[in-house]
Amino acid sequence: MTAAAMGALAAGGLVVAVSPRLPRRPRNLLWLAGSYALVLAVSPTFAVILAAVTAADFGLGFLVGRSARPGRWLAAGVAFNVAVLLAFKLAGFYVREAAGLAARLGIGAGTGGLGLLLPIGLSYYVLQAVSYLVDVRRRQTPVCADPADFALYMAFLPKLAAGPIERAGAFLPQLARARAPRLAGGGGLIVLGLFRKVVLADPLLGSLPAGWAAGSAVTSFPEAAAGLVVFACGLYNDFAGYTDIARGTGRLLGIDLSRNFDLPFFARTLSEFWSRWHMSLSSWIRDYVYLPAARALIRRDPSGRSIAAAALPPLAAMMASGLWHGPQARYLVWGGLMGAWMAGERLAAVRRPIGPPGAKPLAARVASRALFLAVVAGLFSVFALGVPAALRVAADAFNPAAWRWPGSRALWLLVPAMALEVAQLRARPGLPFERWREGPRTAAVAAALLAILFFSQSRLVRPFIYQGF
Amino acid sequence: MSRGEGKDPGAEGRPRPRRFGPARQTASAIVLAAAALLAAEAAARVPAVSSRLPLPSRGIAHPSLDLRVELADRWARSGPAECVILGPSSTGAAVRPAVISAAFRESAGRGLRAFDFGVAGMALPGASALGRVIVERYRPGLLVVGVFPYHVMRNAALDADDLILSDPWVRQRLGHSSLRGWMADRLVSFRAFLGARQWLEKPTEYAARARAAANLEPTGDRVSDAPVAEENGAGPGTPGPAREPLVAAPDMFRDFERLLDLGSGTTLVLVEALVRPGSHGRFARGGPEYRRILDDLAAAARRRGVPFLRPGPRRFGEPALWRDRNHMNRRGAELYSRWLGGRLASLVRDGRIPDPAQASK
Repeated sequence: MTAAAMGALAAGGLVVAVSPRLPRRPRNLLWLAGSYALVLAVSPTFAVILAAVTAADFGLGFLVGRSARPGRWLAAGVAFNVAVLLAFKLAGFYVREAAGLAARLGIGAGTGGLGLLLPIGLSYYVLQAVSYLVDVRRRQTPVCADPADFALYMAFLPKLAAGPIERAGAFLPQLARARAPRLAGGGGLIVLGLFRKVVLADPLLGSLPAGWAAGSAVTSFPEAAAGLVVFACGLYNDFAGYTDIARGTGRLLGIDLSRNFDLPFFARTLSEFWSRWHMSLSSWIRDYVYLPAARALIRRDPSGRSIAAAALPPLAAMMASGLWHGPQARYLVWGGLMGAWMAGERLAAVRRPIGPPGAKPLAARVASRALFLAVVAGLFSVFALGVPAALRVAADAFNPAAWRWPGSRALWLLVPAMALEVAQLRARPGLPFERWREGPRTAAVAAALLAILFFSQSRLVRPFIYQGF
Repeated sequence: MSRGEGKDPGAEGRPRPRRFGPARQTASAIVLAAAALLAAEAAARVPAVSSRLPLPSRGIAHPSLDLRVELADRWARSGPAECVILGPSSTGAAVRPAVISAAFRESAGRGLRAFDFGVAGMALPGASALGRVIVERYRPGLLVVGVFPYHVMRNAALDADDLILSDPWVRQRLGHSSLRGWMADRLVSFRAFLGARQWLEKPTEYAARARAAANLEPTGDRVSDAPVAEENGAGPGTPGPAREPLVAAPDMFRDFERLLDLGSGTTLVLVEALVRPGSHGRFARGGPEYRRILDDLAAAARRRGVPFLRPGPRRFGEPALWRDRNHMNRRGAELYSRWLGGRLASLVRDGRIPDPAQASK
């Protein structure tokens, strides 16, 4: 642990200790200053961008909520935020691509010092701003009159880097009232999050060969399948770990942040999977893309049984999700395929609703489950490997003679990962081990602490993947 | 973990487990974790247990250095650390401690307990840092450092120093403490864990390390003529094949001066790290320039009273003594080591350096 990290930890501890003793406004200002201090430490430019977007949306909120033409201001606000997001995502992507092409041609132009890195948390706070403006327009949330509170809504440190994407209606009222910090719940979530990140996600993702994500290291179907399982589990624990740490830190400060995951691998359909994976993004897309699209189509066809009414909303929603992840072809294809499959699910559901698990024979349930897993794996391969490698792997699936079995032992790490999921399932919606007696629970926490210590010190901890989106 | 979180309707009617305050539970968990760590540490130090654990590691990104440190620790525990020979892989490949000891015995009447600490791709800053680590850790009577003109050329592709100088364990030994460095240095259980983690996550790299370890004697000597790359994994290399001309770097002479400052109870001797004669094409004026830079290095050493042993350009020129342009084969290493052992014995006999056996006590 570096001196800077220890200093940041000490400062965080001090903020947690001091916050309950402060009146509302100084406390919120302290949190705001802490949040901006971290962004400034990363990059002053990122802090300026965050402040500019915040100021613009604060003003737009007033115009949407109190002007005579709220619709126009809402359109302007949404356009502004989407433009900011696309500008950085697309410009960063194309500048890097152009620099790569120049390097391949031997021109060696570099990025020309443009430095178009995606500002920290931009993909998340921009969506928060859009939800705020729309909710103000819908009268679901009042206009925020306190600039410091609004700035904190946008920049609250625990959720800044990778969410959860909070709604103003749920977050801002928490800033107005003083709540006691929940040390045990917060500490438990932080330990769980660190365990997921450091003990499960990092070793799982670290076991993948170099070049795996670029698709170049994937040569055979069994290797790719094993790698996909490892990657899926690693990605899940990486992001769920981040969310647990964010929510735990929020609880230490007396702020409840949204859940992002609800045992997604126990889902039965893709639609259900998406209601359990990155829930704050999924619900954002549902409320601001899917439902408006569905409402518009239902207005045109009130029966709601047309193919367009069933297919277009999920397609639009998943394409939006793909675009949010990045302008690369793999994410757009992934979003399109997922939207198409979900549209199929929706059409099937319109004609024959899904019954309880016992309603179908066992064989049919197994077949349906296998099909679902195959689809998830296929979609995941596009997301993780890119389109050409995913196609190569899919073709290799029908050529068993060329199969090579994976030599990695990292699959063993799936055992504790699945055990944790089962414990989470049993404790749902609480924390795993929460209902255990004190002795076993203390032993579990001690083992987790020891594992976190050893794993975190044995290799550089990888950055959270979703910070990059 | 928490009070009142996650209400489960089905749990009503069941007796709820007793709840303790978060502070007490956290304290209990920390005490229990510390006790478990102590137990693991004690177990890992039992030979019957440690022999069954994966090959330990300090997590040093330079695979050959990671192996050498582990071997050197065992070597130093098993007897007096009379002589450590540090240098790039060309020195490591040319040194056979058993032969040096035998040659030393012929002249001095007793053997010299030596260890081969060759580290691939090591330049002078790395040698200086590792030299300090070796002196402080093993207190050898004699530290022999292999040096060659590549060490003061800017683009010689000796690229291990970043790995050496940024490593937490090396930095810990040099006084820049960190939690990771401390754990790698002090906890046997952590070193076993690092080995186990590599076994689990990177089985191919672990297997290569295990093969390399099996190819090393307890004195750091190689059992066979396996390529140096085998020990080094995909890590740094030695001076690359002739491409662009080498550029002399005056500031690197300062690194050389720092190397001469090691001192503190250990006698320093420099020895020419040999590369195959005739392979000096990257030096602007070939062999003459190579020898001129060697002369400069030797003169600088002489000014500080540090012996610089040079075998002369033709002594080991025969192609049959070389595995490749930078590394001697075992036959070449035998001849070189015999020469080096004899020269070290002469230095002791002539009183130019103290007897390593006396100094290491």
